[in-house]
Amino acid sequence: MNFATIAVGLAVAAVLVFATYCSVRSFRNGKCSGCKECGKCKRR
Amino acid sequence: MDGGTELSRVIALAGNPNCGKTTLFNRLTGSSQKVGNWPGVTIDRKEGRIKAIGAVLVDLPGIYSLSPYSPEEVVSRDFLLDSRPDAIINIVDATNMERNLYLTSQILDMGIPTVIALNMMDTVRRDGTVIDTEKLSKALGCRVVGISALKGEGMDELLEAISSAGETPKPVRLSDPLEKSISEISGKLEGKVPDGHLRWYSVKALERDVLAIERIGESWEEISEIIDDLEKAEDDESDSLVASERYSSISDVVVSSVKTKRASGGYTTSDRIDRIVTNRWLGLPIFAGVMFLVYYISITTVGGWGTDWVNDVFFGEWTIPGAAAWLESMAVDPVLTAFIVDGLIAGVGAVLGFLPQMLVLFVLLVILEDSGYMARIAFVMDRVFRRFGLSGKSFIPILIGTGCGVPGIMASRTIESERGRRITAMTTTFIPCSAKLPIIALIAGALFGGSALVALASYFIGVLAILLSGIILKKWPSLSGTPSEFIMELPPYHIPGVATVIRSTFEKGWAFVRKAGTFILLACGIIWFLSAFDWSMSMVGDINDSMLADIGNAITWIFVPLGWGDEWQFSVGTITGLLAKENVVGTFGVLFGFSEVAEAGDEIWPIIGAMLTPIAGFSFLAFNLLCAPCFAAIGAMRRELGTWKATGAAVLYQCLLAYAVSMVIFQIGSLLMYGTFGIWTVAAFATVALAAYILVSKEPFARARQKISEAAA
Repeated sequence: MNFATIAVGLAVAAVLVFATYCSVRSFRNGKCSGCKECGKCKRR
Repeated sequence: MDGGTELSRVIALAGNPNCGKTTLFNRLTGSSQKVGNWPGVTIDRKEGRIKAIGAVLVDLPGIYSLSPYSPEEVVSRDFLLDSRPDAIINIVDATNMERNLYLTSQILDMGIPTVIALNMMDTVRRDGTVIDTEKLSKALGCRVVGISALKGEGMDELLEAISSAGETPKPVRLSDPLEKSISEISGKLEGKVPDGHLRWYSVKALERDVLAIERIGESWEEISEIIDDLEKAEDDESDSLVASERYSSISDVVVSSVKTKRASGGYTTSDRIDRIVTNRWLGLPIFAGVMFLVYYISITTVGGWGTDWVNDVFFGEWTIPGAAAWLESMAVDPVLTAFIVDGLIAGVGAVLGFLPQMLVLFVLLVILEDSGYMARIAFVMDRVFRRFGLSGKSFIPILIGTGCGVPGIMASRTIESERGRRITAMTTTFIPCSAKLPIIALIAGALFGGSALVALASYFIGVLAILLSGIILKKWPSLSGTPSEFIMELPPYHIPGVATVIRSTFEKGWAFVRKAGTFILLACGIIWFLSAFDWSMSMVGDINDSMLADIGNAITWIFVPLGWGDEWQFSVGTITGLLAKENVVGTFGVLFGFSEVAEAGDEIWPIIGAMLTPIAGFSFLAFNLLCAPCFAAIGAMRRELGTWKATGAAVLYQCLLAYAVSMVIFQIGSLLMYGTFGIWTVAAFATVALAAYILVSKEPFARARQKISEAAA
């Protein structure tokens, strides 16, 4: 395993971890995306 | 709260939605507001102190009338009747008086001192309209003060009017026959309701208002005879008589006190356009034509050209070969290279290839929405929806759902009836969201020469599924009932602002790219891994020897009757679509070797075209359009339906409907096009017969209803 493989591998791993973090955060924030299109804001 | 000292006077603030009520409330109370909830409902109750006159101001929910239908209306009328505030400020939008004064005429029946705050006078002056507030005051029997809550005009006069308000207002007079009946009813109600409420209850009884009838109790029988006599004499229903008399009186009041620049009875440009666009016969064909044009421009022509360039040049000639060459030149491990190029870039690239089509589509949809046309569609669809047991109000979440199903499902909260809310939450995702558009574009491109009719057919299937579900589900015992009323403001048409269009399109486009870089990137990585290795973690030469092929083959038999179960890749694509619908395309990008064929200058379309007949491709499309939505949308459904049991039932219904529709499309379509006939063709006809029975039968779920009644007993 050469240096290039390790470097590229770490970079890809970092991207995937960041993508996982963004996906989980987006999913948990799904309760309110601040789009103001749901009924909750309009009824009030 | 009745009466009270000077220090604790209670003033109610009532008016239509969007008339500036909140602006006025904020201006009068400043920072002294308290926000709570009206008991029993999730509607905000705002209270504040008007320091200048030492009174408490209670903000009632925005309402169009004091009927007994919506929670907002019931909360308002109960407060006015039971808490009996010292005075009411009725805020009226001066640019839309006829509609606003309908509520005013009902408020005046309550016998509570009222001041009318005629708002938006700055706009009225700008339009060249002149309103004689003195004449209006005389005609309505209460003080009228012209204000602009936004600019703070007329506040002193309004405060002075509220301080001195003490006289019972004169009610809006109806026709002689109606007034005679009201007088007779008042005679029967004397002593049975508070004196100050006599007129209110008499008129409400005349309208056969259910809540008023409850309070009237035993006297209702005698009163009912009076109403029957009136209806016979006038040959019309009493509530209709009252409503048209109110509007007639209001019209006389407005004509006598308002002078507009426009000739009376003249039409605005918006009115002229609406006469055509919302026409009973032309409305729907015009809508179909507009949507066809939208998809023709975005999928077939302009957007399609962009997609071709991104696939052929950006990914095909630059990104994929460039990345592969660079990684090879650095002697990066071949497995890692394959993971990056054949997995991540190929998968995400397949989805991002559709970005040009999505952007063009978003631009056109934003233009339609911002111009005011989309509001008309909800109005046009109300006529259609009502025949299927739904209200036009159900169409608003569906319209929102064309962008994303999650806010679409959440928007079902605007529907008052529990039944309508639940059915809408269950069926909103039948309409193709933006995530499903790459699937539509893929099938259209691979099997139908990029025809825009595929997109139109997809929306048609979605709307048809919603309408038929409206009929089917309303026969299910826990979901039966009548659709709610639909009142909607149609904003005037205007030319969309360029900045708005660009900003909205950028936001939607960025959301698409962000999803590609997160959910889809991860999913493609996992798909590549499962498709590149076998169970002993050795790389495979043939994808059919991989872990994913085994998983796919284990489930693909389920989809054989639908025409696409012979190849496991389509079943795997459908399953990965549960994470995010774009994953279907991303999965194909990995499994069909997008990176290899892109280098050769081809796309995955010819590969899919060789594996599926057009009818099987359309069946695949229909299944993915109608089946269970992505996990995020399922989560939103859970929040609206309340329990996992109800959510599970909804998802099961969606999957069964998708399976049935897909099977019917493929089996009967193949019979008609290729003459193929087998056991599943018989099953398809049986499915159609079952659906017809459920649609036509009055009580198709009689046994279920019986079981539910027995369980309740």
